[in-house]
Amino acid sequence: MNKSKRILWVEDDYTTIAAIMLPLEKNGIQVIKVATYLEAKELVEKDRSFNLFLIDLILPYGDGKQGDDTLYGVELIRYIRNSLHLTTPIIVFSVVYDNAVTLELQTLGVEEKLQKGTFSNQDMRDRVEEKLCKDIAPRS
Amino acid sequence: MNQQNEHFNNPVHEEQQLEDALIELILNHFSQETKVPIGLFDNLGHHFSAASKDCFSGFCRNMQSDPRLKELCDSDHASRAEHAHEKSVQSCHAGLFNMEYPIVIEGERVATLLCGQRKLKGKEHLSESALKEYLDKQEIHGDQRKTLLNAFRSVDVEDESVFQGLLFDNLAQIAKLVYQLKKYRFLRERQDKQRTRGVNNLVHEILLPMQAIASNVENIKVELETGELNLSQGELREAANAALVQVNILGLLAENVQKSLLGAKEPPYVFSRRGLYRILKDCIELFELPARKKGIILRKPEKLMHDFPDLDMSFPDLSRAFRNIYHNAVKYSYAGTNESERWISTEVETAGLGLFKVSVSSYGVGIEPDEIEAVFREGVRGRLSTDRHRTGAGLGLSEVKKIVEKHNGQAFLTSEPLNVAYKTTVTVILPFRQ
Repeated sequence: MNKSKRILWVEDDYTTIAAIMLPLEKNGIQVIKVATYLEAKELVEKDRSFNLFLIDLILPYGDGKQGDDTLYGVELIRYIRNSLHLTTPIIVFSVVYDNAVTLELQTLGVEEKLQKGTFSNQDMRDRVEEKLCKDIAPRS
Repeated sequence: MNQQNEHFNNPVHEEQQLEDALIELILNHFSQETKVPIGLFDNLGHHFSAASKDCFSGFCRNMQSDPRLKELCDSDHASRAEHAHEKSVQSCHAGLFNMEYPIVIEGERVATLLCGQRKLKGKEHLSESALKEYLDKQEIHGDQRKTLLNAFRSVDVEDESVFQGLLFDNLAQIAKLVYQLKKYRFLRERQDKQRTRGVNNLVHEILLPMQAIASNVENIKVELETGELNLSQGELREAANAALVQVNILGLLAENVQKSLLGAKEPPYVFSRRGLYRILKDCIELFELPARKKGIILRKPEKLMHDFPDLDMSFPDLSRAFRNIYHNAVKYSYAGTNESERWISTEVETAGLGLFKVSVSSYGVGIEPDEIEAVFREGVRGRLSTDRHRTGAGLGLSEVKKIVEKHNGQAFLTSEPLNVAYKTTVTVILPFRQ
């Protein structure tokens, strides 16, 4: 079932916490990792066939220039939902704790918001696989 | 407990109510003294207005009695308040003149005072043609148009010198009082914001290594118990190493927080004669794995162990200083790619009589020239450090400086833009003897 599933993980610290994806990868799920908003945006524009997006909220914009307080993870989700009109399941995996952001994520149809810290690899695998089971065919 | 009591017991809400009441009092006083209506619009969208009896013209009262026109007036006032940049006399959408007086705290407009609603002597024709244009645009014809035009002709005409002189002086006094009231809230809110950002950064700095530790240890456990991940010995060793590195990074953060909070109460350093080689070797070994995972090569110094002189040092503290330097170097380096190799280098040399110099260079997020001094202060992070939205506690470099200075040494940095990345070099100079 999982052999052809692909998820896009947008996370600038993926080298530090890559171990959380190991059980998923060992189970045949292809995890494509990108570190910035721009990389993710360009990739999704070209390839809309991902089965799930796993997105951190605190992301670099990606042009190497001075940053701001914008949560580029939220920007990316807005782009996916409002501009590309993709209904692909989205899981947020972040440390951001903000009621306004949580509310907006709900309105954008984010399936789940998981808190970084001691989140179990097994739980991550279960949550992702549960969403992938629902997602019979790539959505667009 | 009812809502009113909840508010009563909330000091922030109470303070806000008091501020609002004082603003209304001040505006009412102004309006009674000058017979001119006044409004205050703050950047949170709050609007206060005051008009002593009969100081609004019949024209304005007429406009306000039509819900649609009232809404347009309110929106015109709010929009002009929002875009006011300096004290000036401007006309409203219906051709009456107002004074706009923005209240600015540390470069940020926090509110605007608007007052007037008068015609100016010699400019009555401008007002009337603006009104006619407005009435056309709003498609107001017939009796309502006639009534408004008649009412408009009765609006008081002020001498422009009154606007520019006496009224402006009064407004300046009001603005000063409002400024004082707003300033405390503005500063408190800014402080709250900084504190929230600081706490969030610190929490992120703790949760990220925790997640890495938890994930690596869980993989090792699952593999040892079930073998279902099919990890090789090398992969298991790497997972254990990755967890250990993150434990060390957490330990470093805890020490930084503890020592910086202790401040002057920190115990005095105990110096002993040791070689710096061991410290640099340990640091390079510790950060080799996270650097490699980012595609960065952590180069060893070219000098051999016997080239390093013995120095008088507090080994654990100096070790912490260099762990901070290498941690920052890895963290703020841009990741290497297939096209571009990245590295962190360590240069060591004697620097004059009885001094030893270590320079650690990395390529990535830079520090701007005007903040090179500041980043050595506690809690200060470079503006560009958010370039890739990296969080940080802002303690590493301040601890480096403090430790090095306690060794009677010097710590400084240079950061120069190259093609894509900045080359940032942290240099530490230490005396052989204390």
